[in-house]
Amino acid sequence: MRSNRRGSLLSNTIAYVLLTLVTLIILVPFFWMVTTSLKHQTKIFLFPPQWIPSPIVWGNYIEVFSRQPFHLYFFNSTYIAVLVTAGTCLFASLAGYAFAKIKFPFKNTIFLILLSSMMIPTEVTAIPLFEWMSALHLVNTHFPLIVPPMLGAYGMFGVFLLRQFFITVPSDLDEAAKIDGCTPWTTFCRIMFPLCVPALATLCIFVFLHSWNEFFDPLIYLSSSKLYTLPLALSLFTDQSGTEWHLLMAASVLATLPLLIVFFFAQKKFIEGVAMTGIK
Amino acid sequence: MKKITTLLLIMLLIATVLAGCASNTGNHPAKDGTQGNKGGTHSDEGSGGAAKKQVKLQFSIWGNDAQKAMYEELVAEFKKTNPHIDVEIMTIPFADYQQKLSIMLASKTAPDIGWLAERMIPQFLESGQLVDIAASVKEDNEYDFADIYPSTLDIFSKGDSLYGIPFSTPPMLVYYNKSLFAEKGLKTPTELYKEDKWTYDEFLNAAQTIADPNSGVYGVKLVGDWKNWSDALLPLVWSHGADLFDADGTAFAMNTAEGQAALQLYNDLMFKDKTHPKPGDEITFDTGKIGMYTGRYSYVSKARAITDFEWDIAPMPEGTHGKGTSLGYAGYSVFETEHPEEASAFLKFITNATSMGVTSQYFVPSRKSVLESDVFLKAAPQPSAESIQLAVLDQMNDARIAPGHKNWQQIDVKIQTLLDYIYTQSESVEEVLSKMEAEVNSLMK
Amino acid sequence: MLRNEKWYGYLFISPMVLGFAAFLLGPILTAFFMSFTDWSLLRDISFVGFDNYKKAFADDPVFWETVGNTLYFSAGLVPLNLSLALGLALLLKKKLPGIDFFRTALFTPVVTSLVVWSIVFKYIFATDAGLINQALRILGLEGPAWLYHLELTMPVVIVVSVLKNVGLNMVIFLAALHDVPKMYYEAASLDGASRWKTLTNVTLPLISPSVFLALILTLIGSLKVFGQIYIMTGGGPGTSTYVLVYYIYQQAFKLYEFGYASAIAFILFFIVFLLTLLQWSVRKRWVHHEE
Repeated sequence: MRSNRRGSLLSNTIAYVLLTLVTLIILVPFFWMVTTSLKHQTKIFLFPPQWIPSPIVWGNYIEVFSRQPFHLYFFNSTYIAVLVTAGTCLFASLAGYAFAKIKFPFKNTIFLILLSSMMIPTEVTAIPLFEWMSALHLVNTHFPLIVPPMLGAYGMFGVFLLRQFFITVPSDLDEAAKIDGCTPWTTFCRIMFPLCVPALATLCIFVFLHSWNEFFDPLIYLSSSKLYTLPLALSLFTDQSGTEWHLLMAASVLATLPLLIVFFFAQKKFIEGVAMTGIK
Repeated sequence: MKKITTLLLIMLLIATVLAGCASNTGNHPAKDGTQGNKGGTHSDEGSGGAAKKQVKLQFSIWGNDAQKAMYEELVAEFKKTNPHIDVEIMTIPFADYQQKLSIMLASKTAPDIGWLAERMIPQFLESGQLVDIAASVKEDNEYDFADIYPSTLDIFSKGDSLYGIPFSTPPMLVYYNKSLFAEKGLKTPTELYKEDKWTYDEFLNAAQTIADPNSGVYGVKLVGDWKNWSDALLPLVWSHGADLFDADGTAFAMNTAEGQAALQLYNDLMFKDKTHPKPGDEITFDTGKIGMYTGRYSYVSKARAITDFEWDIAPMPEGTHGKGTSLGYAGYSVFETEHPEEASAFLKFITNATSMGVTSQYFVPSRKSVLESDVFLKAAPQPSAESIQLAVLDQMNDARIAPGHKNWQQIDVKIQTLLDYIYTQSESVEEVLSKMEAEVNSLMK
Repeated sequence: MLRNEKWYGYLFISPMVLGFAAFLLGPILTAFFMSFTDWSLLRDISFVGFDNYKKAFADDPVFWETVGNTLYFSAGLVPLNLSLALGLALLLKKKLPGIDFFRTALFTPVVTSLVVWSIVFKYIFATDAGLINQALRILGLEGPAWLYHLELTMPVVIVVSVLKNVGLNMVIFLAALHDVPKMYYEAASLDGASRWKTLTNVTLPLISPSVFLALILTLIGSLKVFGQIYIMTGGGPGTSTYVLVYYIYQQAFKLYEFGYASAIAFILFFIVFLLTLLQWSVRKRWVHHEE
């Protein structure tokens, strides 16, 4: 018994040491980003490195906004991510419900076809989509960043996720509603949609995260810098004469902070959400 | 059934809202609908003689916000005399400018007028996507076309046609950290230049003396961005008597003894003398850790923010074949547009002597009258008028514009990729140059 | 009633079906078609048969290098990511005080933008004045040019990518570990099984569905790596970090060769397709309890 306890004390210590080590490796970049963002430009490459900036230059954050219309990039990123998320949740839950609970011919075939499309890399569809958007004069607008992901890759994932969820909902509920004279639409609105809110929260987190951080699509579609989303806007701090690291780091902090704050307050949901997307 | 209708309506509504939002915040003229992005209003078409219909032009730049604000003021000025022309400024970052513009031109959604850098011009000129403005500028006495340095117009000319007007021709020059030079008791490049002794030998000597690896101080830095090889190498190559392309611009010409010497020097600065930061280093001149930085005049706007040390500018050092000063280059061109007349009018306005005086706060003007005026020389307390005279004005006659090619994008990627084998010390200068010769030549056909 | 319901079914799935047709099926077919043309912004389009594929397989050494680099990236990333994630999950499973802090911290990079993550690491790995080489200098060592080194740059990108996403697989494994019924462990400890035996004979088989899924997703994700390459190395030095999607991007959107880029894109699609098939068939045999 005693040796067992000593063994677990030892193993706990080892666990702490290992975890601390990996956590440090992962947190140092964040720390370094914040520190650099508060340094004067002549202090960013000092040797030995300055861990705590001196003087602390809050002005870098103001400079970011005066150098670039950063508020605009915040707005662009936010509204695009919100629209994509809302649209995906609505359409995916409808389709997920239909595939799980409504009987109609070719249901499983259609579902399998949709499901199989999840393996299509968006990078492969990007070229033809770009051609089409270009023909429709939708290049250099936000349209290609909103609608194709919503009804395309994210959408299919959502359908899959929500179908799995609706399958676990007892069919009694459905039957009861049917006997009460509910149409599938009213059943969906009154019973099923409220029920799937937890699963939807998962999907929301997944989609919002991806949309907010998306880089490839904005990179190819957007020309005019006033349409830029945050990840793309960060490239504006580099030019031919090099990178202004103190400003770039301040801008990076600004681009990261909103999502991190939400994450810290809703981390349980976040982690559960991501874990669920893995398991189901 | 009613419910289904409601549902359908909701879906339709959402779809419309989405589409609406997308195009509203999107590229402005997308609102014009199928008529496209040409920026004009429909009423403009078929208006015949009464040409004073409202027109909206799009003007693309890669400048920063301050430069954009400056143009907005110029546009306001322009509107006083041309109330029927609106100009909207569109910023596209330099790194993506050529590719984005190519794509927009191909899909007929391009701006009407915009900036072009020397390396971009051949491609657009070859594909016939620029508008000839020769008649419009040459026949207008008030415009004073002769005031523009003729050498800066070559790149935009093809026979009697002219496809653009330059507005910024910043020569490559040396920014030096005066404080570091004083600390080491060195003569500054400016002093040496005045004594006619500012050579590559002195340049290397200064670099050696200033470099102090223990405190992370480097003598010299030729590159800003490690991918931007042309700014770093051209002056070096030219001053050593080599060239990038041959005289007709049909073959790679750097694989010569002179070219090797130039590249070897660059190589040795990094790996033998260790006076130049190593590849992948991110130190910039304004950190005060670089003795000399070779950059374009346009960098002064950033350098002016330096408060921690004294700095100044000087001409490039003299090599075996002169200073090899390269000239940065940017001009305005009118692109394929439905409003060539209005676009040309705007182009002429922003390149007239008064406007160029305004833009000279950021750009080295291509008009003689502006370049030699106090507006340019005394725009800011730093650098001094004397330094500008030495490092900019006096160099204009010998300075050369970087060569271009219609396949510049491919050539650029190729040279940059091959140069990495020098940066990684995995191949010798000779090997890299002969590979460059073979691979670049195949792209120049 | 039933007939009515049928139409509701079709109505409910219609947006997604239309989206599928317009944004997935249509484009993939078009990409296939485009890969047989010399589609470019700079030329008129003409049909070129298998030329693009021939070019890729026979005449373009960079293509093969790109494939090799992509596989190298995957081969480095997937085992490293999965084993680290599994190790961390096993450590986090212990209900030690303060363990939530570690879980949160380790997951943070997952919610951070890949662009930001790559930018910060480009800065940290900068030659000489970067944080890592400065730290080495304090120890009296001269660090290499991490991002300008033919052998080191790809490993750096791999490590940066592992750190970015290890938290994702970690929480997936953690959830799977929590789902393992306690009685299995009790049985194992009654039998006097060692920790290692318990892990290999009880834990791993029981969480194998999750491990397998994580493997699929991580592998496919790694074949599509782009952002960290674009930002940290730009494919360099030389072509040592050119990967498939970067090459597609460069050919299509920088050099306007849509036809050739489509051919490469289609090859990527084909690889992902084969992998998926392979994994589905393996999955049937290997995974213990599949519902």
